Amino acid sequence: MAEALATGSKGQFTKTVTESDVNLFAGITGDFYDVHVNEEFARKTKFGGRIAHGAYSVGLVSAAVSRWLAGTGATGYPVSYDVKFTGPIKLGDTVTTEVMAEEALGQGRYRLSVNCVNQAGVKILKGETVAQVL
Amino acid sequence: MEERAQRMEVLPMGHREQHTKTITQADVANFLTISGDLNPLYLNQVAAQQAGEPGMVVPSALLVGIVSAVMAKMTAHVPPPGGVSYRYALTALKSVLPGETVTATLEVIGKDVLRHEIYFDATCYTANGEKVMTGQTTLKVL
Repeated sequence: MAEALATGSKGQFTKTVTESDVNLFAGITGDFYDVHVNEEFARKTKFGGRIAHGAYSVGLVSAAVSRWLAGTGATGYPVSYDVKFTGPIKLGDTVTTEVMAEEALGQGRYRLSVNCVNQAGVKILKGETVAQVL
Repeated sequence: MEERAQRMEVLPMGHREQHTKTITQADVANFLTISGDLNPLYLNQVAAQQAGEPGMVVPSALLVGIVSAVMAKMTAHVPPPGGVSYRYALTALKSVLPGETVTATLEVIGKDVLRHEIYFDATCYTANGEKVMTGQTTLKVL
């Protein structure tokens, strides 16, 4: 039982986000909003083409939390997210997600800071997540 | 009135939308594949039971995705170029298992015309009425 996972410990995950990732996300969730699946619509927005769902990047955050937990030898999962989508993920972008333990909240809960950047270093997500260790 | 502020008027205070989906094991497997999540609580029945869960659980991030589908319904009302989700502040209250049917609901609770933002209360329920996720979301009108 991980009573005290060290604050400052990190989890990281890097993934290239493909068209199939975005299309599958649309089908799994039911979010077929045009900017994600309709290239002609998306081209006329400020993004200039299709972008991944913000909620998809929450999945990347979850993956990074899972890696942090695995790295510490603990079993658990994220139970809360408070994230802002500060930049788009374009198809083909490579996104690096980093989570860092900031604070033990008690009862196996940990608050982590979250940041995602693309291959050019542009911030695409920032915020916090809370992980529950079982 | 500014053109963008005008387009924000299509979503009046109190406007509600919802989306219901049975979350299958295949949904979870596909979600883990596209997000790169290897958490044993999502993909290892034995590990999940040893940790005290009834079985493999649905990632809370997938429930965020169901909320995202309701954001899509809201955003679809906004004339082109539409909008994008800007902030999700969502907390899971209870484990959801594959096979459960989840309804996500959103209600417009506020707006900031200068920031071009619309704020929503978000709630997810299972078919038996149990609340499994709650929080708030923000849409930015483009």
